[in-house]
Amino acid sequence: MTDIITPFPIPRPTPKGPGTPTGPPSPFSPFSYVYNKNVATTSNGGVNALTTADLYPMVDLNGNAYFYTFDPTQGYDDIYAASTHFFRVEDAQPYRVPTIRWVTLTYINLGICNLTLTITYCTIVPDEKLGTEAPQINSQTVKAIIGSATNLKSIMTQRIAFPVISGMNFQLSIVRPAGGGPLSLTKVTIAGTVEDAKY
Amino acid sequence: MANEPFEISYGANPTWKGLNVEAPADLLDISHTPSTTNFQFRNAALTSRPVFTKVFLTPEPSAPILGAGSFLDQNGVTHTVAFTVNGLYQLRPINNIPGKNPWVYLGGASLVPGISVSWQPFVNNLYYTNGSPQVSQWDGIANAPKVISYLADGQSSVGGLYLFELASRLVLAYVVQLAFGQIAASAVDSGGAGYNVGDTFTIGSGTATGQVTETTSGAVTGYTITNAGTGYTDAAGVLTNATSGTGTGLTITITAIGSSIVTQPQTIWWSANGLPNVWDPTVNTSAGYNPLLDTPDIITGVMALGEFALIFRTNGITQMSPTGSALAPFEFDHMWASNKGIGNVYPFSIAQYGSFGIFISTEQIFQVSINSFMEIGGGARDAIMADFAIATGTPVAYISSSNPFGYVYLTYRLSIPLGTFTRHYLYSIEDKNWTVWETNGLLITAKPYGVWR
Repeated sequence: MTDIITPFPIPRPTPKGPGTPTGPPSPFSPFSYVYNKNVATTSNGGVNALTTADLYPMVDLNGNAYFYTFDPTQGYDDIYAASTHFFRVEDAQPYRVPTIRWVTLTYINLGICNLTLTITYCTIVPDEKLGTEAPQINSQTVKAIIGSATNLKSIMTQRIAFPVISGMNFQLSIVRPAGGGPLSLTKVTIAGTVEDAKY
Repeated sequence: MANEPFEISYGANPTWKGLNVEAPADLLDISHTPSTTNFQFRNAALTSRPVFTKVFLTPEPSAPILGAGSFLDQNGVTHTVAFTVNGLYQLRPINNIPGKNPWVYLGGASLVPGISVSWQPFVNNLYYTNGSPQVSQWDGIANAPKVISYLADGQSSVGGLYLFELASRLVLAYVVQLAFGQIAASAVDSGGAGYNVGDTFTIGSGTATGQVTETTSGAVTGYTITNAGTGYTDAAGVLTNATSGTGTGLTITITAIGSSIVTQPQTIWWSANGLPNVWDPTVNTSAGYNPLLDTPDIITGVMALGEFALIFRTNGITQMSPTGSALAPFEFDHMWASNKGIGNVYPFSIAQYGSFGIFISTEQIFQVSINSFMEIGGGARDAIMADFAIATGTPVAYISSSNPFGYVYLTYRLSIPLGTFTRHYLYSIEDKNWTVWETNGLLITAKPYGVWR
């Protein structure tokens, strides 16, 4: 008589929101012991097959080998890797100079997150000597802390004030430093004013 | 001068469109990005990627892993295995004890360093190869895997780079063959009579051939071996058969036997029907091979799509379809055999999930299914191709379907080693967008795979 472990199908809880694991496994026991009298040979080892993992065979720079995985159950705050995202280069109005005052972030609260927001923009500097204009790229950076340790998975909105920036071709980028906290943005809005000059 | 208020909002519409490095950054769609790292666009949110964490110690700390996978044995027990150059390991049932090696060594034939293992479950057995001249098999019951791809002589064998199943046969693509029993040294045993210089002959009942170079009164006193053949053993006085001229009676003493590994990068080789341990067509005529000599390039990957398989070449694709005939079980249709064309140029960039897969040609990334080809590189293509050009290791790919606790993110994940880190390009099959993840200080060594634990 052979003692065989036969797994039942694993119950899958319904996902509860974007980018988030859905909590601890079901209390339902996912396997049981089954006697199979028809099997003449015993398996050599085996796993319980309760869960899956994507195995990434990696080697570090010293030649040591490991199996890694991207694991959403461990959260979204990798302490070894920053996250960086650039948005499109914008013209608020073609050939008009906008002034940027606010960046509003709407997000799924996964906890406290430190951010760096940067806006690069183009200004035109007159060259009085030559009587011409030269474009120049500038940037303005603001650090912000968003999120809350409570009300996790709630949608929250936070407005980040920028020192007044006036320039064309502005571009917003967001950096979550390594270990800065988890971030899940749903909407990002840049607000300001633009000159209403008539040419 | 009056000022008017403005607002510009970024968000999913209805999904984020992902990385686009090809259009100027001011001409992108508002949900594209000219640069992104370690974010994902899953479920319409712009979310920092999941933590990249060690899940297991490896079987051998200093031996790069060549692959991993899971299969079900005949008892219904799931086994998770890993491959290194030293052979096969399996995961212990209890595998999450910190500091304890969760792997058990099973043994088996050594594997080729630096090449991802191609493995295939078939009738509750695990079969695998990785460019060595053997296919190994483990049933989940025996103590160790064994080589099962020997030819009729019991010593020569076949293996290859790619292994798959089609029409109840195991199939190898890009064949590597161990030709054992070659004549390495021999001498005239009896010179016979009636020979002239230039006469040719075969040796015994094998395939080795020779040509007479010197005679004395019609008796052979010198010859050269023109084909060392296979399957020979040391033997005295092996009779030759003249294939030109009228000489008779030449016998040769074989004094040394050698072997060689023959790489056949254009060849497809299949086992006998329903007999994955029989590979020699002289033993069972439903086994066989096709060297695809009418194509100008080498095999670079395979997708088995059930009804047929796509054999990817550098500059083309060949459709391999079952015929139902035992003697000629497959038909090979080259979609094109041009010197330049759409094929797969990065051998381990092919990944398959059910009825579709993804491959990369010289100029585009394609999603292919049974009846469609679709370009998916989009605006990320140029970034991917640029990274291919500076890759410091073999790029590999995998389609990830789900993670623990029902976390579904169906993505094609292309991992490119770049000196001190690995850059992973992820293509969301559902949302049709690309994002980029990076893992600093870590280089990928083989195709990832989702396993049971």
